Amino acid sequence: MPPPPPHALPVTACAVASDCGVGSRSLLDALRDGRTRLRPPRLFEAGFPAFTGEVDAALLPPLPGHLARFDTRNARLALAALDDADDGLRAAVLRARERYGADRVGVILGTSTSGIYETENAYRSLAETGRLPPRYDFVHQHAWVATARYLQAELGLQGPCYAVSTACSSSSKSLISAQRLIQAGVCDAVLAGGVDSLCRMTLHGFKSLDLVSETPCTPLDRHRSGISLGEGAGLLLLERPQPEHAGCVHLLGAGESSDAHHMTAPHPEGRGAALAMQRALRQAGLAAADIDYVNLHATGTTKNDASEMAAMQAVFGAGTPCSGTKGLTGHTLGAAGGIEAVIAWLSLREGLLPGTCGLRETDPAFDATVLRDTRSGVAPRRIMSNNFGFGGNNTTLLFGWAQ
Amino acid sequence: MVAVLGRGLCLPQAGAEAERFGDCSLDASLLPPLTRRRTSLATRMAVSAADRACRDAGGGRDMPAVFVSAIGEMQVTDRLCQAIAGGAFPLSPTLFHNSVHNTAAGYWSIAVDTRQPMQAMAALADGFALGLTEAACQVAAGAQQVLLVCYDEAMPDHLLPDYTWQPCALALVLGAPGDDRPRLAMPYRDTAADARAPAFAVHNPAVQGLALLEQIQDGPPGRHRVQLGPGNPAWFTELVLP
Repeated sequence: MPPPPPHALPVTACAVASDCGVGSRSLLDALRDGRTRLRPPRLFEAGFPAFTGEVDAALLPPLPGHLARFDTRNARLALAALDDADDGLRAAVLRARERYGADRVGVILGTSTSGIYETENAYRSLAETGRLPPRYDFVHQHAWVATARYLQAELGLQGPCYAVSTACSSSSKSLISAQRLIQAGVCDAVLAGGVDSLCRMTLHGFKSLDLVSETPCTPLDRHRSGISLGEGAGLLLLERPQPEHAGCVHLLGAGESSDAHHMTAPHPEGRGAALAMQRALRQAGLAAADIDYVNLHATGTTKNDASEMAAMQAVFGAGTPCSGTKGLTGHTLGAAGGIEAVIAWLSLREGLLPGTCGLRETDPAFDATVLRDTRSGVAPRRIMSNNFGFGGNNTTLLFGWAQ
Repeated sequence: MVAVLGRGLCLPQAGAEAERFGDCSLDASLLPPLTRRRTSLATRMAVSAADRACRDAGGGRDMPAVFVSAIGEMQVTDRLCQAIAGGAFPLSPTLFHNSVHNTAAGYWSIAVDTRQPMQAMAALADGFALGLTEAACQVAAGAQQVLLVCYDEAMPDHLLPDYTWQPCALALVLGAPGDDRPRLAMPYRDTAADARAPAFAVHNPAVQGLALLEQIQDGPPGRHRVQLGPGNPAWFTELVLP
């Protein structure tokens, strides 16, 4: 068996929570049935028509008593994913801790808004009584590194622990940092990915930018009308390659770039997006023709999708199958890169190419092979996953089999 | 090991004690006037220090950057949370997009017109040590030069009344090691060390980097162990001065 490419790292376990449920099995079921889980918001009143991908509260466990000061919706999303028995992420992290030592296992977690949902609730008390509620704790709940530190404490790890927060590319960036920490020899394993919960600030913030769809979002559709927000966790364990990892899905390479264009609007020709994709291909030593499927960022706004499809045209031409999955999960912002990395992992292992939930008619301006329905019984070998954020912050991850 | 190629500092409220570091004033003239008026002190300090470090390193700015901040745009987020609590909708779209943690990184990349990757991270008091770790990993992965910017302004009082932070931004341009430049080892934690915080550090991770700047500026040739932050175990690096 030939050795994996030099930048490749095995994904030895992963876990997910989203509006589709907790565990990768629930996400796989959703990818197969292609029915949207987006519904009107229940967590709070929006005050305008909107749909969100909300995780059922019954699925979110409270934190153990000795770590209760970290208790937020974000931390509960992470704990729910961590403890899905089928995915077995907790057991895999503890094996890595045993094998390498607690100080050799890092936690690098993406988040856009951390525990802001709790801060919003606390500010209601502040407005009414002039004081924050006694259980509110900024450092352990809202500081950007709070949920990463919670997971570090929950798992007894002592390696580097930080948050990456580059808006919607946060958790892709966390995986890239994890890759570098392992390759530089700072860590032997890193728990990476991302978590974000629904909150009023992002829903009203995107509304203020006129980007929230009044219907469940329809990415890539000619009549697409904006985003539907979601929430969740997508967590992956990356390790230094070991002989028994040869059969794992690998992170084959990654690329990053900046648009240098505008804080919220993407570059109209997708200049930075194309550069991120090309850099990922170069790092993995692959050509565009080697990629079997691209999971697009595809948020469902007019400009974002047009920019990304221009970049796709520049890098791939029209033939490479691609789709967007936010019609199922909603746009989970800082968790999107993690959840979509789990979708890539599932697609490789289960032999499917996801469809575009909500798509009725692909925008005729896109000269591309956009999948509307999920294809099963296929055997993709290499999958690209794109995520782009405010600030013109672009990331591309490549997953596949190492041999 | 990474080489320190340039240094920059912004201490907008510091008195005479900052004079030994040279110009530490707030100068975000790199940002367009409208952006400058609408961005937080945190972002403007970050741009000031970053610009100074790049000029110190020879003037180039087209390089990847790592921005690290404990609380980032919390002053902006505070205003949004007050508006939400008061039902003052719609929110300001400008405040919303200026609330993201990568606001400084985003405006920097636009202002200097670089398509290089921008990282934005947070690690509370470990921020300077872990930002340096992230930047050193980028150099190890092949980046010629990497800009590291560690910055924080003061917290809204009601959120952290005990944190009496001095606003501070500190930037370094790092690169592949050469013999004629100060060199830094990958940061490490020492469980056996005395974990006292360095002088005049009160929580702000950027201020904790001043001990390193002082040593680079005033230390004798040779190898020095420098503490990068408080805590137990505390973070350290080895500094080699030519």
